[in-house]
Amino acid sequence: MNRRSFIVGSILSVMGAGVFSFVHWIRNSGTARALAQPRFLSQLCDSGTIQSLGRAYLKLKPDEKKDDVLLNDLLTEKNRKDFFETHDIIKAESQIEKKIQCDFATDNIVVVQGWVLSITEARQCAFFSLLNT
Amino acid sequence: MHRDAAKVESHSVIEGDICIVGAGMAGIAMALDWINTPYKVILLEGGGFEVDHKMQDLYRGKNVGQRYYPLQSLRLHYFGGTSGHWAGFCSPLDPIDFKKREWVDHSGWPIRYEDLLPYYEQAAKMVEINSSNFDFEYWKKKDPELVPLPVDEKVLWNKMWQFSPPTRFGPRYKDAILKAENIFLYTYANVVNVETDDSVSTVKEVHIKNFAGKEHRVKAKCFVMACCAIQNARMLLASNRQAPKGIGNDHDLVGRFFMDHLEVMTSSLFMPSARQIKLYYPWVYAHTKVRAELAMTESKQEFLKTLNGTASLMPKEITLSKQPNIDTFSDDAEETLEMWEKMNKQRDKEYFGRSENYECREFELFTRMEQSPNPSSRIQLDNELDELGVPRAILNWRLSSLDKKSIRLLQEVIGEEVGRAEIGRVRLMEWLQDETNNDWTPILGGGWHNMGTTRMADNPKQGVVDANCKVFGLTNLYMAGSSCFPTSGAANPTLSLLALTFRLSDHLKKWVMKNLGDSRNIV
Repeated sequence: MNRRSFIVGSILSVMGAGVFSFVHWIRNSGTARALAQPRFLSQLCDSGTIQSLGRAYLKLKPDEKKDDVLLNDLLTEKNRKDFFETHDIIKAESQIEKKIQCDFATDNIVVVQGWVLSITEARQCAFFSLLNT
Repeated sequence: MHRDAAKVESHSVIEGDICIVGAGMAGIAMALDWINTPYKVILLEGGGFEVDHKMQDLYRGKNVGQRYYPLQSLRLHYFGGTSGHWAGFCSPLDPIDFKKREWVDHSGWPIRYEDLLPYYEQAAKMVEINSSNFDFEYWKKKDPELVPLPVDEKVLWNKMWQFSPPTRFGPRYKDAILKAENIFLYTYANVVNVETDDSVSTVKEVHIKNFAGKEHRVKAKCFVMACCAIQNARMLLASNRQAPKGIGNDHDLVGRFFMDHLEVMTSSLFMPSARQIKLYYPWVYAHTKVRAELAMTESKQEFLKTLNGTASLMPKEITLSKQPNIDTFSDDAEETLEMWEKMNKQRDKEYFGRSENYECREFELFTRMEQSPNPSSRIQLDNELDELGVPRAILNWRLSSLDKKSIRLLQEVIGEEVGRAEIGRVRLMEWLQDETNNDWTPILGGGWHNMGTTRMADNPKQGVVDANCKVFGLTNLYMAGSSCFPTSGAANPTLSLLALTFRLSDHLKKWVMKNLGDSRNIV
């Protein structure tokens, strides 16, 4: 292994470990589970429907059926780091809300069981369904 | 002046300068426009002043395509025509409706929006609405409570509607027609044949019949067919003595491109904190006579390559008790008249208190979508004859995948916009959820808006009439009404067909002055 490969490999391992520990933490953190709660949709649907939407989304996008993939897409790397350090759930939720708005503005939508959803909120539903399996 | 053709001595020859066939909305509007001119106008109406079954049976025909309303009750065959069961919805066509759109085959009118615009004022007066101005800002100034949803104006706009009382042309304009010295209304005067010269270049006369066994001939310098889209096409096709394929049908276009609006419940709109949306309330129109529907902007339609359409908001609780239109329309014309009268009375009672206090969180989106012009969607003649010996009509209403895609995309765009504005979410109905499925739902209906069977075009290879509604190849035969529409637009056709009629009327006045000179029939 040359020096460059070693460095890249080490960075990836650290990142992987970071994501793993983040996912592990988030799975076991009560407050963090709030990230998987689509705020607006929760006013309209019960948790059973949100789970069902999540499962339907994962059927459409089976490649995303992993906590870390979904989490990566819910928060940017920087926001994820911030959240890991500060545990500021309100800030993280607000970042997700902005991302949802941006999805709608940029045609980044998906139709799941007839619902016209932002990709981000569909991922929240998917994450919610994974956390509840 | 009125005469009952059933009481006129048989084989009479009736003569005038202009002969208008059909005393429905277009025919009556045109006749009124000729009052006090020095020309003798013959106005022919197949029925009398009341709806009757025997007359309606002349309109009976088969439908071999998409589910549709019974032809014998779809249109009313009496003085006043289908205004007798009109709901009164008025809105003009949009500029995009007149344009050639690369993504819509056979789109484009030979006239521009601006060419029709001056005639909307006259049309608005006929249907007794407050104004020919349909700009949202105009109405907002009149009523500041008309607050729009916070959608992006580059994506969605508020298409305004006004509501006619609705004006029933029969009772409303009967006196004016009967008192006019130069208008000669003949009731029970069913046109059964249009007779041309041997070279099929000029209409010489039309033949009329009735159930009393009387037959007459009507001679005029100029003929205007204003019998509705199905009957206009049927009459041209059936008049095949001199032209075996039918009059104006050298290019096999008469009867093709039959269109209606696709009217159907399409999705639910959930708005958890909806408050003041009076602008969209369907029941308030009984008081303000105006409301808006959501429509895609021209640029968004172009970007998504969709047809033009609108969606209205209907509170869920109203829709729960509402059956799809297609399931409720009777094949008995008298019943349909009663149904509409009941609906109009109901409309006045549908008042839920002050709109700002009314809380409704769930709405149904009711979509009215333009139908793409489709040559396979058509009227043809049956072998079966009606009681007066005219072949009955066969309707083959055919829809396309673009029609369904456009309905779906309109819901998605509304969903995106309410999502972006953080005010709601949209859920498509099950029949729209699979974008690969082109099947139609059984609840789909038309808007009772028959259009397009004698379409207007630049040349005879693409249409039946020219930009002045004159049948290609004939010097003195004109079509009036929505049969001339090359595309249907999103709006109900009434206001626009009246505007087009007034435009035709203007043209004819110039035509008769130029062609008749002193040879007119002195009234």
